[in-house]
Amino acid sequence: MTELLRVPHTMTLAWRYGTSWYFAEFIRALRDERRLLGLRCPACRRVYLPPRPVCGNCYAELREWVEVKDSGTIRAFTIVHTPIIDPTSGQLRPTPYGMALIQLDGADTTLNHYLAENDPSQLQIGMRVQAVWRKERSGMLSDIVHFVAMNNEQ
Amino acid sequence: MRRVAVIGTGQTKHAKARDDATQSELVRQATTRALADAGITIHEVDAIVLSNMELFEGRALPEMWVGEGAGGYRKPVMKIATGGTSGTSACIAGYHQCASGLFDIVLVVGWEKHSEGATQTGMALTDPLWDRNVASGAVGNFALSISQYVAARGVTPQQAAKVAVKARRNATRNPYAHLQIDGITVEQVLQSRMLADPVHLLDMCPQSDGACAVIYAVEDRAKKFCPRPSWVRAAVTRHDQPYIGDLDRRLVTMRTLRDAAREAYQRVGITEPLREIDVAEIYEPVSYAELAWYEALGFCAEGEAGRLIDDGVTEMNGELPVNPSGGVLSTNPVGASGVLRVAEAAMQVMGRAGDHQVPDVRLALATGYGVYAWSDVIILSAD
Amino acid sequence: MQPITILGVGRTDYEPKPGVSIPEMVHHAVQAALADAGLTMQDVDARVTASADLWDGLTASNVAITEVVGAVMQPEARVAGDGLAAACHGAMSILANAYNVVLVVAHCKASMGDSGGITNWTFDPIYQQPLGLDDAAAAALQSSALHFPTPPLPPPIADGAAAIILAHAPHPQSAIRDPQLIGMGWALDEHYLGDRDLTDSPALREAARRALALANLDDPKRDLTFVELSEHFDYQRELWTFILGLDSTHDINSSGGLQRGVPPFVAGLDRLIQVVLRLRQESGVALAHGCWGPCGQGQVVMVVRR
Repeated sequence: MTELLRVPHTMTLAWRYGTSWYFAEFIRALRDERRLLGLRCPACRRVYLPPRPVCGNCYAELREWVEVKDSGTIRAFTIVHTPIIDPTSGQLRPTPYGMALIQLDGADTTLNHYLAENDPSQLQIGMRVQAVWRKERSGMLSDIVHFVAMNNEQ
Repeated sequence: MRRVAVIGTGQTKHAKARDDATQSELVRQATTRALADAGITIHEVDAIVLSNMELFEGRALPEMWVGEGAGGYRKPVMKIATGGTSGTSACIAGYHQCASGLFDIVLVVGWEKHSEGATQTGMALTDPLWDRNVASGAVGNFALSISQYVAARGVTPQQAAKVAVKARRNATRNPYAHLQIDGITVEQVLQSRMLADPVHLLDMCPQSDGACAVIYAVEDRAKKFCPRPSWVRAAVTRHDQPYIGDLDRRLVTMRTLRDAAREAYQRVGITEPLREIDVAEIYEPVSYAELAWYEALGFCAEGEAGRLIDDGVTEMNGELPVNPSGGVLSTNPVGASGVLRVAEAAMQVMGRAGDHQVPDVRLALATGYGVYAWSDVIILSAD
Repeated sequence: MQPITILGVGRTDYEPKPGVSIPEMVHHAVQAALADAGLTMQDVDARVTASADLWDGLTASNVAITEVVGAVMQPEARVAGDGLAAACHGAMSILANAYNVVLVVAHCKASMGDSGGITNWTFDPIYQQPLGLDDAAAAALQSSALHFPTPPLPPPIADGAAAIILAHAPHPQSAIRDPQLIGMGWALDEHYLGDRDLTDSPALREAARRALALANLDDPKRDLTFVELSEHFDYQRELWTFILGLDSTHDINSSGGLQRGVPPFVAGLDRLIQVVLRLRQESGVALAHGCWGPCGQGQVVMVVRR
């Protein structure tokens, strides 16, 4: 039988994603003021991070900005051992690394982010954590390096 | 609604890399087998619904190329794509099209050829302004939700591993399955490489190349072509909010699956699912998810899923065999995975499941899972 | 077929919207359609959305719009193709008695990506893609096969979203103004350009045959009051007109067609919206047409009456 072949293609596409008013304001506050902003639903009062135009539970338009702290509570965690491409560098992220769903103080949703800790025995649901910021900010989530355990309850 | 039944199914051998077949050829193989199973030709097919997640192969509108394999030229062809639920949503779409009165026979084909693309990169194309900035991947995201599920319900790694063992052992009796691990043990699962705590390699579904087809017919055609058609009794879809952080402990609550199952059971008149349903083919991308789905589907009370697997209730010889085919844990060509659930459930009702046939199936359940918490529930029956 | 009522239509403006997000675009179109129909989201039983992942730069591109189409804890199906095909599927699920009121939404932000780069990936990866074909190159081949005198002209690049609301007819909310969908058909043509007679479109013939048969129309020349066609390049207007058995004396694209700039995938649904808006002013029978893929490989036709 004829030898089977694979025809290679490499995809290089570029996209320019629009932010609309809600992500524009979120990015501005993050980049210029190191503040995290959420949007509160007028119906169910849930504070959403990331911002969005509509609360899906209530189908209500969101307009009211609420400042959210850069500290919060771990609601879920894992230690990732599989190398995954780090979108900020394009390289495989060195493993192991900790990840968590963190409910920031003032928000009702959780944020998916890295933890400094990568020993699971040192982590538990309910733990308090604090963001560690990069010096230079671009307005993206990656402006936060990771979260570290808070020594004292604040 | 007009009564509609599955009258034939077909699938390819699923494998890590099907270098011997193009995407179109995989679809052609599944289609040809389904037509033969139904005892009809492509000329009797009135419409076709396809399912595929095109970014996994980096294609744009791949049905333009692959439609040929389904015999789609000059026929009504539509592609449904909703992430992991693509296959079950395509099956629901095909069911609706067949029940519409406009078509008598509808073919649904799902396929994926992960080996031809970069699935991880495709999956990473999430919200560019939010989760794309943080690398977690599907495994990491599951592991996060699993930590909540374990904390709430106290299931153990051993219990999850039993699900993984059940799936791969069942798959050894399914000639089309991708992962067939003879003699697999709980220890083997627990000793396999840790991907993201507590998920081991063998707790997770593979990425497969493969295709699966289902053929629907309206009542008079179904009775003509099939001695024991698999009637569609309910088909329900529920989607949920777009970010993982929006969902309250998604594996614990799984409100979409809970609500879809409630509505489907109500339509069929099911009040005791564990007792009344004869077999289930559920979309379990990771071992722990199957335990969570037991609760959401009402197979057991909250917190009882671990006991269900410990007691062997969902084994092949148990009260409600779950995933006799080996499930998504054994075979996962994403665009086809949901179609496989429906096809395998229908095969059980039609008595055509071969070595993994459960005796005397009258009522079968199929589910789809996708995105962070989207669900489809489909119920098939012998009458 | 049992007629389906088109209760409401809505859309955004079509123009490059560099700073605007896809969810916001879709939100505006959905709000406009609900307001037009006099309904709230609670009246909607299910949604069918239409979008293309590679154009959106998102995997499962309907995830981003789940909330703005009201799909949380609700049914939604997404058609990867033209919005008019999504409307056909929405109508099918109503005919099946699965749902009473269905919202159909299509969107595309054509300005955010690169059409040539994206549409090259539509061609099969082994035979045609390596040739560097894309939609524009395929259109050049088709227009030359037709001996069209000038190079094919695509419409200006535009972003936008469109939405319609379909319901069982008769429907309590249905006013006398609401046109009814009475026929539909869609079909796929061959893929390899070399297999096709580019001066013809068997898929469009088939889609139109099915739609007209359902509508009990046997002479499109006599029976169609006006027609809205999807000409993704200027030469296609003449081609689709000819294949539908019409000629230049017919009332075609009075809305201006796609040439004023309508996003792909929204295009066919927008033809339907134009048909509905005009039929609210004057009674008649009209045809809306959509197509997608290289040289209109996918074709869809709807017949609407008031």
